[in-house]
Amino acid sequence: MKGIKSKMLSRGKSQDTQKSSKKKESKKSNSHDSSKAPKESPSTDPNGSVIGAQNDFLTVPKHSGKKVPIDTTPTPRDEILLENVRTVRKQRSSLYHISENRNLVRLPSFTDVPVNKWHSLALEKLEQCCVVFDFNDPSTDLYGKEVKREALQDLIDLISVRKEAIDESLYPSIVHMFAVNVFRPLPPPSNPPGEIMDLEEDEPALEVAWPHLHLVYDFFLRFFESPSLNTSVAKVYINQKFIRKLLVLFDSEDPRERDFLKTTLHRIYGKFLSLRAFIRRSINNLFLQFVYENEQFNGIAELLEILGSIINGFALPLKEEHKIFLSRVLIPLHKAKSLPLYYPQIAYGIVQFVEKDSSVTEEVVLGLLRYWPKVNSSKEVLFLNEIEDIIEVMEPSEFLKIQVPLFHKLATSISSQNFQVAERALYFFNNDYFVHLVEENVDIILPIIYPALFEISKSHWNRVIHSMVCNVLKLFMDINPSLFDEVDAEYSESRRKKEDEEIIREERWTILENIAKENAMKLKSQNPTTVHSTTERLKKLSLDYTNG
Amino acid sequence: MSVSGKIGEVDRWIEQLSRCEPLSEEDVIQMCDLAKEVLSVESNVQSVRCPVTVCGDIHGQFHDLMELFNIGGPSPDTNYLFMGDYVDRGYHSVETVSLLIAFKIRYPQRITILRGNHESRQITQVYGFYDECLRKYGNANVWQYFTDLFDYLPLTALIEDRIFCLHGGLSPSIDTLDHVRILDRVQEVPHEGPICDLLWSDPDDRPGWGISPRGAGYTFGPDIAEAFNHNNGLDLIARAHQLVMEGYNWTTNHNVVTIFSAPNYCYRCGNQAAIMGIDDHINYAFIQYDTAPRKEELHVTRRTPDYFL
Repeated sequence: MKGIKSKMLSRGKSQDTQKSSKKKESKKSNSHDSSKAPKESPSTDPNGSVIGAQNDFLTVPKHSGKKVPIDTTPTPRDEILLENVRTVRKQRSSLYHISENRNLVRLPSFTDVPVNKWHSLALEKLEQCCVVFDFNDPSTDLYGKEVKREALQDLIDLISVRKEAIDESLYPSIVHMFAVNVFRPLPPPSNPPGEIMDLEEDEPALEVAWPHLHLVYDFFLRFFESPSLNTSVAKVYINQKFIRKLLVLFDSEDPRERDFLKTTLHRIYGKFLSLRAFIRRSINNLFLQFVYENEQFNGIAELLEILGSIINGFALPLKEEHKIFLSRVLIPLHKAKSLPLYYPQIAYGIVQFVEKDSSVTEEVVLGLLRYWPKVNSSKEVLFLNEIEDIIEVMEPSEFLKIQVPLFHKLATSISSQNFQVAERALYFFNNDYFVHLVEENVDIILPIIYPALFEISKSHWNRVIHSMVCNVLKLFMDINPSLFDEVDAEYSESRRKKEDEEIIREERWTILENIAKENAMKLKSQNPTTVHSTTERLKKLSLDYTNG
Repeated sequence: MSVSGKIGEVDRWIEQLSRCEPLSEEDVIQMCDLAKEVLSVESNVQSVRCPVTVCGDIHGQFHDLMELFNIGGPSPDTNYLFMGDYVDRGYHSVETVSLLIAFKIRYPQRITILRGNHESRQITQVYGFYDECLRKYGNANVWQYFTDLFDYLPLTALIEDRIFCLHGGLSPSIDTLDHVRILDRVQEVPHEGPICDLLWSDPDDRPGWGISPRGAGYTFGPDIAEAFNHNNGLDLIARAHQLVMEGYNWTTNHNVVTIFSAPNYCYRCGNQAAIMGIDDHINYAFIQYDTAPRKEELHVTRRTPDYFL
């Protein structure tokens, strides 16, 4: 547990992880994509070819050496359009304990007093900042709000320019000021429970007190970032109780607040070594509650991002604790309905694990196959994305262990009536490394996947899927022509057998039907002995059936 | 198979669907076969007589469709013309579209159902109907029967030769109603061309044809709408396809009206819905309504952890 890639958690909105995984997504979701990423500009894939809406060619892997034109008309978007729709930006506040006395007196700024007064002035200003205002009514306490804003700004300037002015005796006041402003009950979720946030259509409820809150967060963050921070003193105040309260706030609907919280917690994790195990355990507990109890927590993506860089810093061999985390927490997190909200972060974490220690590959892949979505097509596309990411970092020896179950699943995805699912699965064959692994094990893989390819090549409502499948068949033909013929013959044979069986089965049903009719007739004529003999005939028939 | 021998069966379906209970897979197969028979004889420009009530998008909001029947009168006592988009986005696409199809089979002269851009294989796989079928039937067969049937839905309707009704809007490749009549409509909604435009286009205040931000169809200005109405002897074009906060909205100098019949669209947009009632003398009036209170909202609660049981 050493290095933390702190650049991963820059305070800006676009994190490296998100960027990189977004790029990957856009690379994979070629032009025939769902409307989910409509305005994505053409991006460059690692091979240097430009992929995007203009790309009319599906690059067929090197073997055939040809480019096959594909109809890539994008799915039209049906967004909820219209100018005259008034979207209401939700502004709901958390519960604040508004201070009784909100009359603040403007204090001099630090530049206007001698250096020896800074300490006492800082204390006074910190005290002023503990006054909490009501932002639900924008017209009240305007002067007081402004004074507090200025005080916060002054403190930020002080801590960034004159770090030495903040000595250890100020720590309790700083932490207290943060706690008074930030720790509060959050408002109830704006969507009814059970309904997940729709990134495109829901506006998150924004924190009304943000003008002060963001300065408080900013100040506190600079406090942690200051190199002169004495953690052995600060840890008296930054303790387990503090962490617990901080973690609760990750449920805030305001993405700006979650972003600050993420960076803050990450700094704490970096500086307070004695809290690390506790932080990991607490995050685990939050995840477990999310997966197994209510599936309702807004900060999963942010917490996963912190974990992503923690995983990145794991030492080898992996500790038992981390392996348990992978199998009990990270893999089950794929179950939740709201997976799309934290997909890039979880996929990053999983890939990190597989890259670190290839021995977890089998567990990860089998885990994903176990949680594979059955009735949620867009989630299935995400799973396919993640599987391809994993394959890219997979050792060939590990591939051998999972190829059979994996290709059974791929075969069902390719056979999906849903064009997005089928398309995503077929895109695997554009990945050179994947094709390489397939080539090495074609004798095992082709028999598994051939029936799906063959059936789809005969009929799929979507022309693009149809031509992609034909390309994949061609690819297999090129890899090993004799094997291809063999598998083809076997499959035709098994189909013929099936058809024959079907005919026999139908014949038997007709015989049964006739017997039943006869039986009914005889019952009418009231001859129980012959009825009995019919039952014997039935028995005999079923005996014949099982024998032959 | 003919409809007349199945009336009892169809009545049973209607009764079951009115309780928001989906039909069995076997019933859906049978229903779609019957509906194909009924729809395949209809014209691309289906003639409709007055009085009739014209409705816009429903989008699987079953309880709001029930509210619509409360407001406009039950079928078949009131004649209805629905302008497409029965599925996707709402929770009850299966029940909604099944009920409308069952009505169509039972009372073919009393209800007209047109095709919307969501009555298509590709769009239903992106916006929810496909997944709903998987969820409710465990396989994609029902989705296949429905989408095969959607190919037969008429594209437009013409009320008393005066009001032209369709889901989206006009197309640069269509100048007269006869151009619509000669289209071969039984196919998946194409990505471009006249059939696509009729289901995807939107009116716009800017004159002429414009590129649609939707990536399919066009925008058409008041001049285009005016000329089309004049050339075809029409009073008005009624269409759906766009969310409008009041439920109906006049555009292009009163040549086109948009009607949207899904209140509080997607259960979150806060819009009103409307229907357009047309009487015997072709006078029309709009009736607005709000969303029906949702029963299931009361039942959706946080899942109680198992150990409390």
